[in-house]
Amino acid sequence: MAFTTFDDYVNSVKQKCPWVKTTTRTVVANIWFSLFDIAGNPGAGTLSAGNTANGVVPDDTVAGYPLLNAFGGGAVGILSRVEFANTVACRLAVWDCLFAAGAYAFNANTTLASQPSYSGRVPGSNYSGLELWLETVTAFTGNQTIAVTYTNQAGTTGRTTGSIATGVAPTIGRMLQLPLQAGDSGIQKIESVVSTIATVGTFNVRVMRPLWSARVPAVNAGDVHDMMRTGLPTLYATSALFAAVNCDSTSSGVPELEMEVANN
Amino acid sequence: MAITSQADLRSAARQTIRWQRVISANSDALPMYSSAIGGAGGTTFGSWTSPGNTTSGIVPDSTVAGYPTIQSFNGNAGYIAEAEFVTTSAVPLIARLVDVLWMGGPFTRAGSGSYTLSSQPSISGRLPGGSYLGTEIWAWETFAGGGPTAITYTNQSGTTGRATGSGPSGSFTNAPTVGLYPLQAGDSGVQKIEGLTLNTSFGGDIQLMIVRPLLMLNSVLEWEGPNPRTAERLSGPLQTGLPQIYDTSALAVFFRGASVSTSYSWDLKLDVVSG
Repeated sequence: MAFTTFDDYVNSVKQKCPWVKTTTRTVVANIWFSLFDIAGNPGAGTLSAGNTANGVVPDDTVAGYPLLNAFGGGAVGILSRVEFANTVACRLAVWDCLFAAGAYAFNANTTLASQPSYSGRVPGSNYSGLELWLETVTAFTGNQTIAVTYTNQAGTTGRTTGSIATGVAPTIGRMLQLPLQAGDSGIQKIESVVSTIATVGTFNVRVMRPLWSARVPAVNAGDVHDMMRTGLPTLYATSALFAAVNCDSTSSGVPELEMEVANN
Repeated sequence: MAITSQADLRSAARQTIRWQRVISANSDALPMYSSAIGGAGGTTFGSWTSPGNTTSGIVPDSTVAGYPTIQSFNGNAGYIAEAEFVTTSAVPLIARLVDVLWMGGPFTRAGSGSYTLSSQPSISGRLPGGSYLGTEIWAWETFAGGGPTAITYTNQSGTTGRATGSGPSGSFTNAPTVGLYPLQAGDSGVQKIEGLTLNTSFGGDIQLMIVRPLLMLNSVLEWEGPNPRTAERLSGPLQTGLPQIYDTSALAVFFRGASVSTSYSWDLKLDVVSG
């Protein structure tokens, strides 16, 4: 089955997935922050990915990600609608987190092995567009420098982000998207993680497929993005929906997302 | 029966539900519960009152005072096809339309403040597909009070003995204020409230609710230079997502203002289709 007509949408099975936080996090203006470990609905997750040697492919059953109902046999899933608001002006974004590894120490120098494949969560086996992110698990002392090597979207190994001097001592939850090597547009696999210079702190590395983003232009503002604005990105019944905020000021606010996952 | 096509949508039976609320002032920056607010603005269904049941709770329905009356669907399935939400306040509101599936209270802070519930009525008949995913726990404060409340519940999968985190950190000083309680790690829904322990350092009492979110109805912002003003939000079937409701659904609105000292008034019109 698939979504080819409006009738397919009307007739589809729809599930609402709340992602609501009940407390705030101190953030840095204009920087992405994870709220994965903040209380709410779904209940808080554990920030550390829990595996540095191989990494993991998180799914919806892992604490912190919204649980999804099974799709009907042969059904295709989409993110068909997002209702959103926040008590502060900010940007909001949602990804399917395909791979997570960590928490790595401030001085990690780890070559990963036997990494689990996330190919089953990549629509059309097209790895282009997948993003590489850092996520701070515990606060750093000293400015972190990071380098990640990876296999690119075409399967070419030994690609590298280069040595990225973050210029900051990241606080808990702070996220940073790492640039890919020139000519690359996606990631099949993380190969190694090297962190230097800082003296305290831990972090995760995440590979994520972007699904949706929007702007909350003012305090207490919000909107509804229907299927024409979400663009019907493909979802799986095992997708690990991961949301983050990028705020205008120093509080995350209390963001509210109601995501509609339709399958047909 | 069910609505499965655009043609079904066009030929479906329709009814309109409309209500208005006026709030004079809100000293808390927490959500407030519309159905607790007296019949201002021409509402026809009055104010909500406590369920008066602290041993089992009740499953409120559309015939209970405080919830809008819904005409029978005559055995068909019902959906919210359109929503119009407008506020006359200068500041935007975050509003959420929910179906109140279960309610218990008033739980008072007198004595130990501890309650263990039993023989709770089932809410499964008001869950599309029988799925508890996405259901939420909210508390409604009717008097001054505050502080943490520990709530135990059965989660979406039937696992008992789960516990919420602390409730909203703001002070519940101005009834009727509501707050969402965070679920235990790994949980994404609620089947049943098992018990609660109140902080007896404070006065007042609370009502607990299990709700199913239906729609978010934020104010639309229009800009005049750098200054935003609120405008009407019109949501058609694409925007509402056609959430299924029942002719027994107990519809309520939670809303949050941006200012702690501003008067609010809003008007909501729902077009409900059944077929």
